[in-house]
Amino acid sequence: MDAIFSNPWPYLVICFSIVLVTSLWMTALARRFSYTDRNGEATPFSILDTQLPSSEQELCDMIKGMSTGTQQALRTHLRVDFFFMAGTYPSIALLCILIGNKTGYGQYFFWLVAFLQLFAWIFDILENIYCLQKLRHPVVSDNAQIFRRYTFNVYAKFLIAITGLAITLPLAFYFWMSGDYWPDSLWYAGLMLAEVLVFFFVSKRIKAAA
Amino acid sequence: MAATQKVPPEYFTQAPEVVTALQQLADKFDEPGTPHNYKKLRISDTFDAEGHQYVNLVQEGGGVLGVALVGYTYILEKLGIRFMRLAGTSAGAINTTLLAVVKEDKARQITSSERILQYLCEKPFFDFVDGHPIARALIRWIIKTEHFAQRIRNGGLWMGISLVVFLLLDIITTGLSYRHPIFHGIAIFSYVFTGIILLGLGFAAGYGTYLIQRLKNRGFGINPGRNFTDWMKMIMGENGVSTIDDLLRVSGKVPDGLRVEDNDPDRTPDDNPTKGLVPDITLITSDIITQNKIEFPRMWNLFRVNQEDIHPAEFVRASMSIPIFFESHIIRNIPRDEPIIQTNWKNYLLMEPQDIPTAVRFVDGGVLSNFPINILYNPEVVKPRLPTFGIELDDSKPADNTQNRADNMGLGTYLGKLFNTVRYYYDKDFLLKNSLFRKGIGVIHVSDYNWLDFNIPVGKQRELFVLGAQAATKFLIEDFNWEEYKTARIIVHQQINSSQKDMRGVSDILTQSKK
Repeated sequence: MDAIFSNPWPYLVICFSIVLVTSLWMTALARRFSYTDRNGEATPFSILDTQLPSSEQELCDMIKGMSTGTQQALRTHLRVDFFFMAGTYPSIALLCILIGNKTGYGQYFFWLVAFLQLFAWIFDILENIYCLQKLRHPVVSDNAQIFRRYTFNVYAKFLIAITGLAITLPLAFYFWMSGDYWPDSLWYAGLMLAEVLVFFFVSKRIKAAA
Repeated sequence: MAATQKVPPEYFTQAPEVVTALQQLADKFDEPGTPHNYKKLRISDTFDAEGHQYVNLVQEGGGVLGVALVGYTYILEKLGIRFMRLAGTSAGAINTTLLAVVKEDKARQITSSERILQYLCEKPFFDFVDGHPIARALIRWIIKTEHFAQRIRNGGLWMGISLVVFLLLDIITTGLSYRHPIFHGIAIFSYVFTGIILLGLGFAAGYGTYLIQRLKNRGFGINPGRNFTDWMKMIMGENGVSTIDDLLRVSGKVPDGLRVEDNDPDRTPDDNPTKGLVPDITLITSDIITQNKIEFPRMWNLFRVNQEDIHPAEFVRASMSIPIFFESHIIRNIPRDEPIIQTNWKNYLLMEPQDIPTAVRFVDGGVLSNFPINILYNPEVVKPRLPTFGIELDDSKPADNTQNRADNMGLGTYLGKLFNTVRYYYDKDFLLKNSLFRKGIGVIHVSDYNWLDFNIPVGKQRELFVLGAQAATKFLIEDFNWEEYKTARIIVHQQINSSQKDMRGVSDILTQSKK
């Protein structure tokens, strides 16, 4: 833990790489996302549609309308998502620690937000488990509370993760503008920038191949 | 009172204003004997065995303002008026269908309108808003917030100003922090807030994009409208209608003992005075694929060979598909190669087989004809046996015509007025050329209510019902005169036959224009 606090940069690069690689994997899987709606029409969907359905019924209808291939793709997508989470939330937490270290007493606030990423991760895991269960048994539960909890998990994880990014990225920019950065961090930042460029290139190729 | 609170129909029908309205009508039309017999009322020459008088009725669309239509028809029914041909669009189509399907309970002396009211009382309107929970919350918020557009503009303005202020503060504090360390702390706060605003905007833009994509995948409508279709199917089912055939049978049933009471000297003993007097219903919807006005149930066979392949509730659903608010209603897999389908398209819409689409997409009939009174116009009728009544929902706020409104309008107002000019003119043109039809139109003034407020409290629903009842009362007491109407129709018919095609002059003399 001390190693992480003293120099979080290598860990940040590793986590960020996991995010990008798993994102590409999931993008490739999402090309097969389509279901037959109640009018018999093939309707494309995104992972957001499974996270933010109108109702449990809509989620179940969507799953029931999926072909076996699509269900398999979604199942794999959700499993890959576990690795994606393992990159995303630690990345945001590390970013909070890194930026917080430069804000004096403000660091406690940033540590708190970093700690909250753990909850976001747990919410995301619970959300995925629910989705995987629904894929196996797409029937509306008698207990409406379960779907409400699922919806809460989705919103809570987005809120916590976005808050982490909202408070760290602008400050990273500020420290860059004011020249208040660690010189050796440039290598890591450069590496991540290169990764992002490769990511966009490959991602475009994957989408074009759809 | 909360919108979801359930109330009995008496909450509406026993409202003091409604009771007073019925009393005013009794004072004017009662003959000595049983109170509320309304025997002096004469609005038609067509009667049934029980002495009910018959009229044709057209009802205008208007979202939840349709509650006022029920108030209007309630009064008409209470006065012994029944309906021969019915037509309507959107909310008007809903009440039209319900009046045709939900028959009066003669044993318990409950009119159709009261039975419809019972169904309305049991159904919270907000259930029809069955879209995404966030969209539902937004709709509830937007509708409830007065001057919403202005508030959104103000909110956007404040957001913009805050962003500019923080960006300026970012620049200033960044520069000053090199020489004055105190600005380092201020810069941190400033950047954090800038980030929060920017990410908030980004999140809103991202979520907006997602919603637009979702709209695109779901027929460009926020609400699927399934709840409404299921509700309509349930009512139809409870009243013995589950197929088009059932609907045609129920809505087309000729009243027992139908007769025409008039002293027409031209009629020979062989003439059947009730010839052609057959009830029916017409629901208007707009197909944006072939760009046609479609009349259901008459035109159902444009889309299917077998009646069983379409549920009649879909006709109502198609008529009330308020664009964007509800998903448009799509009928797919039209058997366009079937000769009977090709013949029907040719007959109804003059379309060649190669122009018949594989699917059609319906939006609210109000886009083309929100007040389809022309449907009930029969130029061959020399002497009307019954009048055509219409119910208009007037939600326009009085305009200040002393101001120059032509030069002072924003883009939104400009586009809105452009759209309204196009969509209203079709019906307006008919009434301009046949202005005596205005004699049969009652107007309900509902400008204080929002037609999309599906979360409308029951208290306001009652106010709308009362407005409808009061408008019907005023119409019957002050505006309508059967003999005058009949004479006007005869004169106009004679004028047409003497080749004076433009009837505006004649109609203006005969008709006191209300609008």
